[in-house]
Amino acid sequence: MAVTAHDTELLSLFRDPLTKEKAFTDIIKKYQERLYWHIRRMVVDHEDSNDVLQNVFIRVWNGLENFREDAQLYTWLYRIATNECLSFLEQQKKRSAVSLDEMESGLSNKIKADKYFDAGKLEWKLQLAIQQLPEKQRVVFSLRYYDEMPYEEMSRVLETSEGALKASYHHAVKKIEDYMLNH
Amino acid sequence: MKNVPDIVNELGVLSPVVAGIPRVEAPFTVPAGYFENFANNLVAHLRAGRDNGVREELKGISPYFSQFPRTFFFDIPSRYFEDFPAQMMMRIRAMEAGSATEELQALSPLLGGIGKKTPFSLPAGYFNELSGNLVAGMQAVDFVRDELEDGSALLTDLKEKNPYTVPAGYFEQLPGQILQRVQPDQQPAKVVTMKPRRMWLRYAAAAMLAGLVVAGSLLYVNRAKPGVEDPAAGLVKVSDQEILNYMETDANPFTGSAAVNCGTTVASIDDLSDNDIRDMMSDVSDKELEQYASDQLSPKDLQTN
Repeated sequence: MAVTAHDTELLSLFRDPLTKEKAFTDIIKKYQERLYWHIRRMVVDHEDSNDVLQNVFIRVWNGLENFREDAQLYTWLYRIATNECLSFLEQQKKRSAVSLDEMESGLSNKIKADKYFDAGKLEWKLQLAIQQLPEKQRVVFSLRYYDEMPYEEMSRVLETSEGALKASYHHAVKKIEDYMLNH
Repeated sequence: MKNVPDIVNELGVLSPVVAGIPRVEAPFTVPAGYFENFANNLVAHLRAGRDNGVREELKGISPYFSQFPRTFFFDIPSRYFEDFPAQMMMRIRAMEAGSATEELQALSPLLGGIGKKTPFSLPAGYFNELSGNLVAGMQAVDFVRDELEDGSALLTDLKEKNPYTVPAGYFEQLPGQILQRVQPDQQPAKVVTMKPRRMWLRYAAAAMLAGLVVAGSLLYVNRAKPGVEDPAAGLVKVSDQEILNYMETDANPFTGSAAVNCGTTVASIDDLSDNDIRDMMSDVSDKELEQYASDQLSPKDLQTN
C-alpha cells in the first residue's frame, strides 16, 4: 500500500530545500506520539524513550530523501523505531554486562519506579507481565495489542512472515495471561 | 400501490393456484434472542472490522485477557509533544552545522551569543613562572624521595641535632603545674621533706613492733589461764619512749644478754602461723597501725610493706 496523499505531500515538501524543515516538522508532529508510545513500551524510561525517539527522527531526516514510496511512511517509521529500540536495549545489556533476566528485572524495576505505579491495578500488572516477554515478542505484542497493526503491515515493519507473527502473538498473550493469573 | 385486498384479488387473477395456498408465516426460524441482540452484535462487528479483528482475535486466544482495559498510565513531562518538534529541529540544525559556532547557535542562541572569554583572573606572570615553579617542585620531590630511600648522611646527622630549647627548670615544675590546672580549687599538697633518720631509731622501732607481736603471742598462748594479768592490756599503758628505753637496756630479753639464756618458754615468731599473728593483731586497730607506720617508718619502708 503506498503512502497516503498527505504523506506524499509531506515527502514532496521535504525534498524541496525551501520547505524541507517545515515538512520535517510536520512529519514529527504527525507521528511523534505513536512512535513515542511504541518506544516507551519497550524501554519504559522516559529519558531513554526520548533519546531513542530523537535518534529515530535523525535517521528519518538522513534517510527520507531515499525513501521508496512503495510502503506506508508510518510502516517505515515504525521499522526504524523498532530497530532503534532493540539496538538501545542491546547496548544497555552490553554496557552493564547483565544477563537477559537482569535486564527484564531492570525494566520491571523502572515500571515499579513510575510515580503512578499501583501494584494493585491490573493495567500495571499487565506492564510487568509484558516485560517478562522476550524483546521481539514484546514488539509483536505491543504492535498488535496497542497499535492494532494488521499482520500484513507488521510483517513489513518487522520483516517477518505473517504466520510467524501470529504464532508469536499467540504465545505472548498466553504468557501474559499466565503471569496475570499467577502473580 | 393497491392495498392488500387488491393485491389478493390481483393474485387470484394472475394465478388461482397460488392464491389458493393458505397464507401462513414463513417456516424459517431464527435463533433465540436474535433480534434483541442484533444491534449490539452489529456494533461489535463494525468495531472488529475497524481494528482489524484484534479484539476478537484476542478474545479467541484469551477471554480472560480480553477483558482488561486497554489503558496506559506512564507519565510524560508536560508539553513534551508540543515542544518535541522544535527540539528535534534544533538538533537537526546543530547536526548539519558547518562549524562549532554554527552548531552552538543552532542548539542554543543564548549560549551562542555569549562571548567565549573566561572571566577568571590569574596572578600576574603566572604562566611565565609556571614552568620554573613546576621544575623546582619536581626537583624538591625527587630530592626528598632520594634522601628517604638512600638513608642519607644528611638526614642521619640531622636526627642527632635538636634545635629546640627548653626553659630552665621546666620539667621540675611541670608536675605541680599540671596538678594545679587539673585541681585548681585544692590547696597545693604540703611538701614534706623526708629527712634521713638515724639508723638506731629505725632498729628500735622495728624491735618495738616485734615486741608487740611477741607480747600478743604470749597473750594468745596464755589466754586460757584465768587470773593472769593481760600483758597486752598492760603494754598499752606503757609509752613508746619507755619501750625504747627498755629495749636499749641489757634487761631486754630480746636484745640484751638475757636473750642468750632465754628458754623455750618464749614463743618464737617462726612458730606462729599467719592465722596466729592475725589473731594477736586483732586487738590492734588499722588506724593505730597506720598512725604508727606514718610516724615511724620511712616512705621506702611503706613502699616495701
